[in-house]
Amino acid sequence: MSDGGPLLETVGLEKFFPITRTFGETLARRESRAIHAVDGVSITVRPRETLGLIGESGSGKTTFGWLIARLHDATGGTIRFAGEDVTHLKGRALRAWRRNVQIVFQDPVGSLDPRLRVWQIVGEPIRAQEGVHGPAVRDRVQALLPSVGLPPDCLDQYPHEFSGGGRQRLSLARALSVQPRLIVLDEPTSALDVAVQAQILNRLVELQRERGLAYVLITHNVAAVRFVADRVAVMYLGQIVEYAGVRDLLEHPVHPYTKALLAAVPVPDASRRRTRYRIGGDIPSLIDPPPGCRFAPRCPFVIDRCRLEDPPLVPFGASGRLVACHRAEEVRDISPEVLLSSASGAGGAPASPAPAPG
Amino acid sequence: MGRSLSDLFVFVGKRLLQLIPVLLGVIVLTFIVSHLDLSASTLCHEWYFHAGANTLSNCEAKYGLPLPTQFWNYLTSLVHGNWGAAVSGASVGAEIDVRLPATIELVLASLFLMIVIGIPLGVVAAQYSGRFGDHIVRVFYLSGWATPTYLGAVLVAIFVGPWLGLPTSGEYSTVIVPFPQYTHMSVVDAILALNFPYTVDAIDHLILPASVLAFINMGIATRMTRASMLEVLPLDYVRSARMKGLGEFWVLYKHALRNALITTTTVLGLTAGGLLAGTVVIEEVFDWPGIGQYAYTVIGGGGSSPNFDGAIAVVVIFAIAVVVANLAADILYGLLDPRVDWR
Repeated sequence: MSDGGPLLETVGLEKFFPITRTFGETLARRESRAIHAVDGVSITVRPRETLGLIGESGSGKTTFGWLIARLHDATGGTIRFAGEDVTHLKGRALRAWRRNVQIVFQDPVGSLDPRLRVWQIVGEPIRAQEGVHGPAVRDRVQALLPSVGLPPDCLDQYPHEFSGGGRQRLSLARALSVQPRLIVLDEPTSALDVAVQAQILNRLVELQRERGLAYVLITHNVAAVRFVADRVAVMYLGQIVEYAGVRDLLEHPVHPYTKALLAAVPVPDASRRRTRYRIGGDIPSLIDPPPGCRFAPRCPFVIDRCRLEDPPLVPFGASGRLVACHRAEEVRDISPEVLLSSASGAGGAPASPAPAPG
Repeated sequence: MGRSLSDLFVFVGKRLLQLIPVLLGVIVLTFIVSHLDLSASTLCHEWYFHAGANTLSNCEAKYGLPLPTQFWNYLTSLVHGNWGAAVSGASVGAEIDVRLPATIELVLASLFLMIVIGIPLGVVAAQYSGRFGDHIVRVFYLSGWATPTYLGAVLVAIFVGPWLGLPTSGEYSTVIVPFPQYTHMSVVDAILALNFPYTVDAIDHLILPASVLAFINMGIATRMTRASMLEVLPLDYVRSARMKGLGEFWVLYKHALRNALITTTTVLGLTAGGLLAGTVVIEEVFDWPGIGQYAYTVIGGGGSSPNFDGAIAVVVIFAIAVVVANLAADILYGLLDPRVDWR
């Protein structure tokens, strides 16, 4: 492991899902098209760090999480883990590498094999990765369960005997069983009620501190990101639009999409309620998207340049923030609240807010 | 949760009790249908006129009674374990003792083939869903499914058998076998006698009829496995299995297939009872001395004289087989799925 280097680094990572041509289209020699689910994403995760990945449904967050866990094969770009290129690992080498990165899925019901008992579910990775068998596996599992807050005597129970939170703890135990260095948390709490969410998030933070884990937290729960993440990447239609430290990003969002996303978070304050911000316009198709900024059709600050030219993800300011917006300088100080009231008109038509001074 | 052994016994016991009204219904129906349109004099004179006077009087004595009395007589003897007799006096029970095991052997052999070939084919079809492998598998099982039993059996007996050099008739190559037949299952008897050449011979004789029966009924196993595999494969626990670093074989066959098999088991249970009906034609074509062939004989097939007690016995046994196969499927279902409560 290279000292001080990033644990995980992706460079221009791409995942395109080809659309199956109908027989007629094949005959007509129509070119095959593809959905650009993840389109050139570059991030780094350092050891012991949590990267939050937020964005609306369909933004490619989960696909990206599966790419770095090597559940999908990347269409382009590279994934480096601890300095080693793992993009094209295959077969035995891939299976052996898998102990480094584990994943906790969103659905606590579907992610546990209903036919297996707790010790088999949590112990199977140990068996597969370390060749440990029999009672030794049970012992390892028994020792592991308290660390995720499960009683050590539930070894022979089945997943359906647990509550939603209990099952998610089981998933977490399974992920931890091979002592990975990175865990991809794919919406780990979105199927749970609020009290249980808090317990799980607390447990995650403690585990990170105890075991020096790195997390990639995929979620649309801004509160969870604020609590757990160190840095945050905002994804929109397969691309990162803004990338910054968690405090910077949540308190001073620069990209119009980030502002809109944060403005959409419900605030528990009746006096601050107002017309909900609507991002108008059509979401561009992910099938071979046209050039230009992908947020342009919905952006209240759109100019002609946005529709023609793809804004690159470039450094902005001194804090290491990256933003992909042609008008970043101009919109930086517009607060999400201002954007809310200004864009409450029909279809989110540009209300041409005065460019902030400075 | 009721999943202890005693719960299982209660479950099986209840299901066996349910068998009684089913059987009673089957017996009443077959008895009425087979006796409805008969008067003793026409029946006996038509079929046994040339037989000895003894047979004729036997016939008239038996079928001359009023129908309710006949039914009562039949039922009481059945309860005492007596399946009745043909008019000629040949015992039905003795035939069934010999023939039922032969049929069970044939059905089990073809179930075995359906499981070891049909289910993996379903997995392959799901794995390559929509691609070439899927299409090939579909062609294979659909051609089996679409083949009428009589056609498939006859084609195999005439062409495939000689081509492969496999026997197409009977259980053994010799009529007299040099060992006692305890179970009347050809392969099992040969193994019990520790007679290796005859074991091979018996298996050779079993291959063709079992393959035809399996080929024709395999589609349902493949189809159900494919469908439920496609339901299971996108689930996260299949993905977690991959994340654990398991090889693709274990991901597919341990995690995915084990869960997908629940449906397949149920359907195979339903089919297993139906396989017996399929044996009627196949046993006749391959001269397999089982209950299917007997069914053909007792209804007057092949120039034999009808045997009412035999016909009812065959139908009742088929009904028992269907119910027992379903029961077996239910038990297996519970064993496969820890969420099933026996109570």
